Amino acid sequence: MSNEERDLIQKARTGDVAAFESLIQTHQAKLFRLIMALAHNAEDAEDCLQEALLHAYRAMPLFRGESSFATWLYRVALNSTRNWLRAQSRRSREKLLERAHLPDHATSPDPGERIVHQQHLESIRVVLRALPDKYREPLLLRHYHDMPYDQIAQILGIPIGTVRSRLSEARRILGQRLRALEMTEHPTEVPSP
Amino acid sequence: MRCANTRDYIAQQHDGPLEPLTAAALETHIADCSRCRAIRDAAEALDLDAAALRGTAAPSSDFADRLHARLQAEHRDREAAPVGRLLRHLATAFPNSLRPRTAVALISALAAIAAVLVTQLPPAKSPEGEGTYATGHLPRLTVRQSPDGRLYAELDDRTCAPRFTQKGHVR
Repeated sequence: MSNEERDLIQKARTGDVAAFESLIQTHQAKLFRLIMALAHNAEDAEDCLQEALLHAYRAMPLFRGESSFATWLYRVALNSTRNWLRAQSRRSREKLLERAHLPDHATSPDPGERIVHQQHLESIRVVLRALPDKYREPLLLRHYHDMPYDQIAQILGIPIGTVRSRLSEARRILGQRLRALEMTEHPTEVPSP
Repeated sequence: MRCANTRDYIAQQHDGPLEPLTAAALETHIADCSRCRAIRDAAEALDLDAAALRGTAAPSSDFADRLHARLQAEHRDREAAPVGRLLRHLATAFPNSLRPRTAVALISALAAIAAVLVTQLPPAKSPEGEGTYATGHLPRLTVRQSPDGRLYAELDDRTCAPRFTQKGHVR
């Protein structure tokens, strides 16, 4: 931890808004992408991110410096996102299974191909949202953030070996559910062996 | 190749391409193993989605302003609440090595000592009459004057159940 970061943390712990904003600046976009993988749209993701960052601001006096600020911030944001997802689920279980509104990022000029591509990404997010927390969170940190195993272990408070086994199990469940979803959507297609 | 090795290689593929021989062995195994194929498909699907988000997803341009306004409002609320301010100062004053339970015990002990001290205050001649000093979320302190001119302090904490009242003469 640099001296500058230590000073900012000390100021943010006493409620200094500018210091807190400086601390979160480098993490904001990454956290947004992490939440976007779970949210229905960008507006929902922004609401969730705002709540997560407010939660972190309120919890700053409790930051004890036992881990890096980034690790702590991700832990707070994941907790907040978990609560947000549960609240969404309580409000409407159907909404959780709604199709996500995804940005048009497919590069193929063929509209048909682009639709298939969009549908595939939508399916991934639907299945990802429905995974249990213990499987969804390592997947998010590993695949959407390229985070090393040891940092994932620190954020989630579990051993590295558990991170590896949960990731493997999470991919297996995700793969099976994706295949089941595709079979439901395209029942006439014959599955490959 | 065994399933356990395959899963390690699938995980490694996330960090970069495998050596050609390993990649070929992986493909051979996956062709015959539906469980490992499901894992590989899931890993590829996640990387695809992550790459799509990386290229496009960012908060809107006014997000920082909206967040700033919420943080400022939160800061103002905290400054206005005396108990919150007290707790925050206590939280930052304690060393990092202090466990939360120990900190709570210390705060409770300090509060108990303060309550006892109020009842043991030495007499004073002024002020006259009766006055109540509102202290926000803190216990209410009332000072009364008896007909013989003695002053009494009354500490009333309505947040306690049952209601906590402690009386004692001041002068």
